[in-house]
Amino acid sequence: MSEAGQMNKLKMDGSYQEHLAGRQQRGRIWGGFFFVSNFIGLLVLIVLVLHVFNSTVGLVVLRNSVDSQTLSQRPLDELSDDEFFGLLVEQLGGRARVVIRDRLSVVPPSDFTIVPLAEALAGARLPESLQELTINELSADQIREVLMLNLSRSDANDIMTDQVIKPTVIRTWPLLESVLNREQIESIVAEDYPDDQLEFRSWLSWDFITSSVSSSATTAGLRTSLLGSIWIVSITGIASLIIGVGAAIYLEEYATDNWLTRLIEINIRNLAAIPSIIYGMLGLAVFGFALATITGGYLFGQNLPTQSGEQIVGSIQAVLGEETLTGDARNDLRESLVIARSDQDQTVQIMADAITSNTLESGEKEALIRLFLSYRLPSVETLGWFSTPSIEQAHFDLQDIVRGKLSSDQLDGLAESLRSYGTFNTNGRTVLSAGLTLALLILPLIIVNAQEALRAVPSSIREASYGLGATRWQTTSRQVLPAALPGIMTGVILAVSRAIGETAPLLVVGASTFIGIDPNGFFSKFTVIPIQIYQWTSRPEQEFRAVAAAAIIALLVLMLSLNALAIFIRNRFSIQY
Amino acid sequence: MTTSIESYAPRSTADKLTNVDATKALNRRSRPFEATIRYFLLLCGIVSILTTIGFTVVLGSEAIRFFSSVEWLNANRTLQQPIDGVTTTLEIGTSGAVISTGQILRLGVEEGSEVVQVITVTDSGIAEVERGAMGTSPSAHTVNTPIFRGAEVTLVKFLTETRWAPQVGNFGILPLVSATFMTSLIAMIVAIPVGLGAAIFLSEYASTRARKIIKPVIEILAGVPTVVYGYFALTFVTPLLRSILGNDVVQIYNMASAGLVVGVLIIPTIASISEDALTAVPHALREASYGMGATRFETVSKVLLPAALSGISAAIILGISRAVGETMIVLIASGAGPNFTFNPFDNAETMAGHIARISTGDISRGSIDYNSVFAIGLTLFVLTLCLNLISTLITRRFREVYT
Repeated sequence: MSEAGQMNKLKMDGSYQEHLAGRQQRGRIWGGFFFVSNFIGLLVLIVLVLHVFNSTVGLVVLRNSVDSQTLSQRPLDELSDDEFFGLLVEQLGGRARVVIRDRLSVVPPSDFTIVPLAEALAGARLPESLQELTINELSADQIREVLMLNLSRSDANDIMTDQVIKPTVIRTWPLLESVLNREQIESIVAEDYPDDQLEFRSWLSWDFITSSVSSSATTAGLRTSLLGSIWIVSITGIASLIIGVGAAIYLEEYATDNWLTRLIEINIRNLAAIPSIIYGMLGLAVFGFALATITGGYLFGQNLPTQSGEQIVGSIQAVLGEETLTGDARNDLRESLVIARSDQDQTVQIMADAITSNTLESGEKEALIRLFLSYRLPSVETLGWFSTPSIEQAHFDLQDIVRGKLSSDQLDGLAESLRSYGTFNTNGRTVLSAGLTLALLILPLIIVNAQEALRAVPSSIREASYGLGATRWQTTSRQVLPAALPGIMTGVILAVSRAIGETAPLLVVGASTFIGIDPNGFFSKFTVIPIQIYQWTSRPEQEFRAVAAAAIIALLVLMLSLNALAIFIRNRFSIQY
Repeated sequence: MTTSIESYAPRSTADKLTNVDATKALNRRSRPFEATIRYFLLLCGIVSILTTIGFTVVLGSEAIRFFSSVEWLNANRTLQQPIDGVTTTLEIGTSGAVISTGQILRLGVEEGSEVVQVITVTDSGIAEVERGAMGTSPSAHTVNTPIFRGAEVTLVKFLTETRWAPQVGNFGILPLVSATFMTSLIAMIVAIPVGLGAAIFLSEYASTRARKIIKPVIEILAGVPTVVYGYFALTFVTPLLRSILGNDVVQIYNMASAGLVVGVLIIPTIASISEDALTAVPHALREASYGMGATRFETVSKVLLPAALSGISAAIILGISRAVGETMIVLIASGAGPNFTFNPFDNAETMAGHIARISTGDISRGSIDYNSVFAIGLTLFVLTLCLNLISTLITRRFREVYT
């Protein structure tokens, strides 16, 4: 039907009013949809935050891996200090030395076993007779003495709980359910878990922030990844500030409108839209491998491989040669290791095969597992064969096993070679590489922001400066930059806060799945909060979801405070022209 | 004039000026410090170009290595008879992997062992071969020498095969592409109406004050770390979908929940760019439309949307580009393992998710995994780069219309 015909029809049957009402109705419906659209995002945001909070606190069922009643006949609280510490040292075994190292040592872990106690534990209370001994020469009684002199009963209680009794969470409920269905939950617990205790737990606590990663949900903490995040974004912030502001000054104050300038501008806009994971691959290939001598710290004498692959194989053969393993199995293993020679991956593979095969006796197998552990903690962690809190502890355990079968010289050499292997495995996948990769990632953001801040400085200021005979750099550094600084800093802080939340590129650059050692420099291996969240989320156990939720809150608070700082700087220092 | 120069110039220069011709001193002098600064700043600017070159070189060279590589797979066959350096008839047994005409075989475990090309092969396990293929030299082989078959990576296989498993010689990127397509599609189904609706509301309906409050709230969505979204997708959206549609329909890891949450993530991208495009439409057009008696919705749908179409398409394309490159959400929520499927409730792995998962394991340089990941990365890079360029071109064209 033609338009004119329609108009005539409308006029003739008088339905114009009705039609108008329909049009307005449709307008209102769509208007309502447009209005609602704004709040869908907000709604998701609210649900997300509530969901995270909901998962962070709630009822949990705790089960002790060792029943405190089996430890001693009397309740632990009634034991005297002497008895309690004695029991603790007895239960801890080799780990007692780790406790001393973690709590009291003032020297680097690598020196701890070598130097005399007077030096290693400088500042701690130490009996006169033990001053000249090293940690490995102490008897159980002497260890108890050292612990008693330096730890309070409540500290010792904590250690007993964390390392011996080890309560593990076997079931969790979110907050909402815990509050609304408390009675039902209690009846379920009474029926299904009669021996275990039900407890209200907040996964986010000061302990959670300050303890290091662990394979158990109850003791898992954020410290290692928090430090990693701080290290990495510091490097990112400094590197991207210098390069980004430099580029922005060039583009705004120096560059004439030529092809190079245009190319840089277009390029920056394109870089901003490249997926972050691609940056991770660039970082892996360039910083992780191509520049590994610099980013791995080898050039500066850090992380140097003191042992070649052949020497490592040699040290394992030394252990095997000392009759830890018997008969054919040992010979087979030695053969394979000779073939593997300098290929570290293959060496580890052969050890893994030997562990899973049935040709070894259980004692031999355990010895080998420990040896394997000290080589490749991450792989073992992933496979879930075995879990142990730290690589250092594996070394201690290893020493326990081979003690008496090796001369002390051989023992030291072996421990040392294992330790050096453990740190050598970083390649260039270090804190420095991660920081630089993120710097590249946020560079476009910083450049564009700094350009805007520079553009906002009125040209009258530049002209006045030039008019007084100042050079271009004098004008820029003394007039323009100070005026633009608040804007630039706001942009940098916002970009850094984005960098803190980045996961994918660091996953590619960092790779290692399980890092238990705090980063202590540019060249350490690293983990960051988002990677930790990812790992906890992807574990099948329910309780790790709760741990991830706690980490998410910590991350969001960190990002929000950075954003608040940025807003504060903008409002407090920015100059309006 | 001399006095004025003296009073403003630094003291040392002023001293010099008393001895030399003043006009000569005012000539352009070489200032090494200024020049150094200038070059340093230029260098900072060039870092961004170096980054792009880095992308191209790194991804390109590793991908080329991938496409020119041959993956050797154990054929589970051995030589039944010893051979010397000249015979072209091989007894290769009957059990094990299928050996077909034209295939290349490696005799021996080690890299660099002799490679032969199959000319004909019979059912009884006798193969006629051409000795010393691929630059290797023919040599004698003992009985029971293990045989490896070579799987060549070709661009055609890469783009057409529907299985991705480099370890066993399947190099088809299609399952990864299909998953990327599905999650992005679901994301766009969420993000386009919501983002566009929000943009229309902000530019046409909202008061200035409302806009000042609503806009930052929407932008917050883009600031939430993606790993947090991933957590949300896996622990909230997936159980929600499963409780609505049933556990047997929706897998624990599925593309739908990942896609929905990616959609939320890109709402701000679409909303803010579309809003800019709508705001840029001249007021005269709106006024003319209202003057004709059109309702607000009619003005929006029949005048403003068509007028701002190029800007809106640019926003949508940029949104797609973000959805395609999004990693953490799909890595956490949509499952680990390539799967060629178009069922949104099935698990499947996207390109970005696959790269992240493979790189998280201990990946050693030069391995087939390492190189294959870069080939996928290159595909992703080229894809997003094209989308970004298209978006930029469209934006530029739309700017020309009204300025």
